Amino acid sequence: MIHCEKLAKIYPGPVAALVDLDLTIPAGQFLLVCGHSGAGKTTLFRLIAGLETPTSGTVSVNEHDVARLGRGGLPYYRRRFGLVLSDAPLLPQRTVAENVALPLLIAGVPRRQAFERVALALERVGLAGRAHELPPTLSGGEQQRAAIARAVVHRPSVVIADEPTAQLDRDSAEEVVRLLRAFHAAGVTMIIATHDEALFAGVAQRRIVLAHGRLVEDTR
Amino acid sequence: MKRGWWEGQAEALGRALILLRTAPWVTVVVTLVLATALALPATMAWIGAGVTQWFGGQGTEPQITAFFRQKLDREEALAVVQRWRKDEAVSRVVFISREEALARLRQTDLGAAIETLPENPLPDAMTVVPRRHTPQDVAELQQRLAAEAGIEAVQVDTAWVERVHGLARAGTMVAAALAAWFALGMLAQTYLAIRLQLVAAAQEISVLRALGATDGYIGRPFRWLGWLQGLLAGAVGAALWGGLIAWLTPPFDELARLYGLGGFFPFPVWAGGVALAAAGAVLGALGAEISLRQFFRAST
Repeated sequence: MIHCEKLAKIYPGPVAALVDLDLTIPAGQFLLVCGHSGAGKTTLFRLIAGLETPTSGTVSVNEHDVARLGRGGLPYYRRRFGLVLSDAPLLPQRTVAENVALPLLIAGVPRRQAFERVALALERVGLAGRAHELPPTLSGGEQQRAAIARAVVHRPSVVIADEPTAQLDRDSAEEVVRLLRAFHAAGVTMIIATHDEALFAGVAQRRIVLAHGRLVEDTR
Repeated sequence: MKRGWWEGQAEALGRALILLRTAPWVTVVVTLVLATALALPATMAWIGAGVTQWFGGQGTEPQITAFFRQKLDREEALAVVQRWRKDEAVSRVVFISREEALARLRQTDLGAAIETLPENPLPDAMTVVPRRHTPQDVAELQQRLAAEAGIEAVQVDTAWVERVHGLARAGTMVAAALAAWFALGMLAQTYLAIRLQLVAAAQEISVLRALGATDGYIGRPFRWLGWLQGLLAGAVGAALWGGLIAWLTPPFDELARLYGLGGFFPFPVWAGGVALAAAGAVLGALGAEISLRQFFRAST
């Protein structure tokens, strides 16, 4: 369970990206986060994933305050998540397979075993034949599917995806949603930001709306 | 199952080799700069060690001449000689009788003048070679000889001993200062090279961090890179140094022959080469470590 209490992030300026946000996300939930650009979605994701520290308030996972983890504990905390974020793109100079293998290699999985799991993950997202290609040679949809493969290959308990269907054609977007749904069915908590709510109709269990850094709507 | 330490290191070494290959001309230029920084003081140290070896060699060792009192019996003089031969501060003692001294003098330009004298004016004497050649040791031995009851006068050319030791000391200090200076330069160069690689890999580092990589995991390829860069520079530096030595040895050998000194071979070239490569690797690794620590401290 992820719990945000009075969570705030103020950037220099000052710009209030997130203001006094209270939010509890139970394990296994499929949560849709909506809102205009600049509403605070990405900041919320970065705070939950431990990529930023809050100005005030807390993020706790299973009642453990993330702020107390310190520099040594944060990397291990981050490994609980599968990220499809714009600031964690596929590395263009590494092959698709090498990109997808990263979370496993970072976690210390032996190389051979890691690449066996990568092959399975790429097969699942329909990219088995593109494993040894570089990401820039892939289409937008294929890159997004590779990013999803990287996000789930280490079997995280939570997947956070920021606009995973943006700039994709309808077929590719539906394919991405189908994949996310399949991983959610396997017990993974999904936190997805999107502008295209219709795509996730019937998939999301809960929808929250952010505006100017505040939670303005929460529907289940 | 966790992978072993070796597998992690091998993967990081692979990444480091890729980083080295990514910008080959930068690698070449940095290697040449570092190699020069290593080879120059090493060459100076080699010359300094050779010169010190020359002046420490036989034929140039300091000698103290002690003249016995004119009235002293030959037996008494020989007893003094025997006593000094057993002294631990003395390497060897040669007795020169007054007759032998006169014979030597006759063979010089003063020979004709000596013949006009009614009797041999020279006393018995002995030359004493100290075991240790430092100016302090020579001066101390000189004082002890002067205090000997049967000895009239003691002569030693301490000035040249001091000059030679002064030169050797200055040469060693210059070589050491240069080595320290160039080592500092090499550290700074490696620091800069690794820093530039870290800046170039900023996006990759950011992604690795987001995926849960520790500072140790992120820094490992760069540690290998610093080590490899230093080792490469050390190897090239050793080759440059070896070439310089091959070029310098014949004229130095010729100089040694002209002065009747031993050959110019202060220490084996292979040993110097290995030491240079090792010094390069250590300095490279150290520069990388400093760069990484500073980078991690500055970034969260």
